[in-house]
Amino acid sequence: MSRRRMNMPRPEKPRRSVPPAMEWKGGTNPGAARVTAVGNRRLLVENHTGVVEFTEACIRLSSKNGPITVEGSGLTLADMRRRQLIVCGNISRVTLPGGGDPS
Amino acid sequence: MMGGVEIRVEGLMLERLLMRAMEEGACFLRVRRDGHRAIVLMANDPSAAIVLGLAERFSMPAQVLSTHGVSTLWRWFKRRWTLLPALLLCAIAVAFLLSRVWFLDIVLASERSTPSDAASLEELLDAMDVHAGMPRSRVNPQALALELSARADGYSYVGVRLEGVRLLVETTPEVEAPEIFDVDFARDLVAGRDGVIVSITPQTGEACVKPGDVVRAGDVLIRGEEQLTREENRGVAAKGEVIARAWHSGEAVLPAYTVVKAYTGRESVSSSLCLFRWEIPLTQAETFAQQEVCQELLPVGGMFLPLMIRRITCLEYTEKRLEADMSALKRRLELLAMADAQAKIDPDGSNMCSIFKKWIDYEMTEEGMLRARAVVEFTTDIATTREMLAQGG
Repeated sequence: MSRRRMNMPRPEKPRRSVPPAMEWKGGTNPGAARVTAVGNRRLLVENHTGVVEFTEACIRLSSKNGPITVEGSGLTLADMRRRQLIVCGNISRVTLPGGGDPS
Repeated sequence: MMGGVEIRVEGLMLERLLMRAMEEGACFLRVRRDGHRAIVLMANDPSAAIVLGLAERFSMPAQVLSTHGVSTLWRWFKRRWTLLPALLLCAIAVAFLLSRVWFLDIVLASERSTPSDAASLEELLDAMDVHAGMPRSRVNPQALALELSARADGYSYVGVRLEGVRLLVETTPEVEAPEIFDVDFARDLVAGRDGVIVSITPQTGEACVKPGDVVRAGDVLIRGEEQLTREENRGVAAKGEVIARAWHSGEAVLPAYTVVKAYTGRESVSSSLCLFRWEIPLTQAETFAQQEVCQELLPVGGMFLPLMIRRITCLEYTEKRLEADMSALKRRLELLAMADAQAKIDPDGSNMCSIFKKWIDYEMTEEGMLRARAVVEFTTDIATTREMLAQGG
């Protein structure tokens, strides 16, 4: 049965001037390190400046803001490029620069 | 996958090696730790070259564990370059094989077909230069079917199909056209054999006999005439069916006794020395009026000298006649005489005959033989033309 026949009011579309992704990224430093986690198995780190420490239990990366520490077990690096890399394995803790601790 | 090289590098500051390599443009597909002092990394060929160069420069032991991808394939092909010409030759051979007709099958899609039909079609195809091994491009199935239909007589359908490397010729022999009956061709129907008329059904012409009449071979059964007016007749081709009773007899003769040998007990032995074709008689023997001869060859010289003694033994006997089992003899004679009589009934199978009575009688000859005479009575269409009667039918 159509909506017109039922005389129901049409729901209003939400009006947004900025897409949510852009709004989410707004106000951040373009050169800042960006960390994206997919579950606890993969972690994409962008804008890092180097690998400081690499073991199966801990990977420490440097960035402009400070060190990024990934802890877990069986950690490996994949798709490793100059500015980005992917950390794979059982990730239990990620320590971001500036004292943030999202885990 | 472009290719990858798996390298194991040992050292203390492996993170610095990685960073240095990435500064020189290397990138890694996968990096994992292999103990405290080693890492195993997977990189593409240029990155692997960078890593190996850096490891050599910094005196770090590096070992290539395995290679994957296009580079590996290329190296594999370089090691087995002879495979390429072989594959090429194989492809050429396959292309050559598939470009020709290797099987020529003739399917005769009818029970009326005979093996000679297939043989004649094969000869016709040979004459048209169609043979196994010819290029497929030279075969035009439609044109071939048309040409075969034109050249081959006696086929109502000729189809040609090209199935891969097989040329299939399907034929169906044509059904024989029925006899054309020219009503204006005046002729009579006469009796093909002696008999007693059972029924007569003239279709054209005038019946000259009636049921119960006895006719002999050659008597007119249906006259080829029709009455136009009271004074005028015209000749027509007589046609009709005349069923008559006819007979055939068969004979068989067998002796009414059996002959047995009775040995008298007298025997004589002769012997001779044989070497190839030469024969020297050693002892002579008596011969009898009725005797059975047994011959033995006894080697003397062994395998390398074919010297032997031929020994002939003659056994005298006399023949005695014993009366045969008459019931068994009659059964055997009945079968033989009936088979003889029935073989004479329509041997070519052109007329439909139905046997409705048969009998047999026996007689003893002066020579002690038993003769059986079988008579088979049957009904058949005895109407035939004079020409057919003259030819024996």
